[in-house]
Amino acid sequence: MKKYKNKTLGDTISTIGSMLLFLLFTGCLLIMIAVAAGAYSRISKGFDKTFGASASLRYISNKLKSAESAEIGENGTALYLKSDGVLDIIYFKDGALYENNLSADAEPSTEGGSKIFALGDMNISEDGDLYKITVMFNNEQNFTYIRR
Amino acid sequence: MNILKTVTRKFRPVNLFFTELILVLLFFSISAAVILKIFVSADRRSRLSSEKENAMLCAQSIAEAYSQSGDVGKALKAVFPESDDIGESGGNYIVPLDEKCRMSTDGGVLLELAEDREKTASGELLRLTLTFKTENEELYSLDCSAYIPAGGADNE
Repeated sequence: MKKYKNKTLGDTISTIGSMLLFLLFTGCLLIMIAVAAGAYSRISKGFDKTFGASASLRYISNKLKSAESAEIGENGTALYLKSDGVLDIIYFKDGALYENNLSADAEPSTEGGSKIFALGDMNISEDGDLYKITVMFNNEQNFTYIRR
Repeated sequence: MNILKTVTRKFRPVNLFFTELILVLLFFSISAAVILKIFVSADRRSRLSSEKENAMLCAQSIAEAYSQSGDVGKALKAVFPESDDIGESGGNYIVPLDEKCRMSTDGGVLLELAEDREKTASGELLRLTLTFKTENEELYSLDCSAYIPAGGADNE
């Protein structure tokens, strides 16, 4: 077995020095990872907050603009849109926005639709000659106006 | 001569090792600086795109309300119900907003509205330019118009 009997003070210092450098490097790396994770989480949250709300607002407003006739129902949580013999129902239920397509002469129903977006709340109201679409996303209220 | 040989034999590997460590540390420090710069830039871009998106939604609502009524005051009142005293001078309005496009004097966004009226034989053509600005740059700009027939907006 090899024995290090002739180990000098210089050797010890150099070992400690290199270990300290390694420690410094590891510390810097950990700080970098923490900063990266923070930046990524902030960007991801901001993106989700902004574009989640605006995507749902744009979806509803585009549907509303392209419809031949529109009617608000269920105390503002449902929108009945008619165009080309199709009744398109956009409604809010159980924390999500749903859409259901039926034939124009069918009984309007807010059951059996397909889920489009997860939302906190949705309300459509008439404000003079404008429709006001309000959505709640991540506890933040966003709204837009559309001409009737 | 013997002493010199001993010294060289003892210290050369240590020096090389330290030099290598310092070089590696330098390389990683430069990499860290570059990466940090990229993170800051990504964060700034994310904020900017969020501000732009909010400005677009806000501009769209004002434009829709203005196209319907042809009245800047009414359009602003619809989008900012808390707006009681918006400064107006010669058809130009300035609204201080925050980054989420809510009325706030502490926010860094400024909404400028410039209205231009053109009288025609059968009515009045109104043009409104909405410009969202931050301290350094223009965020978003939108032109919209409204036509008021000679009988008034209700006859449109």
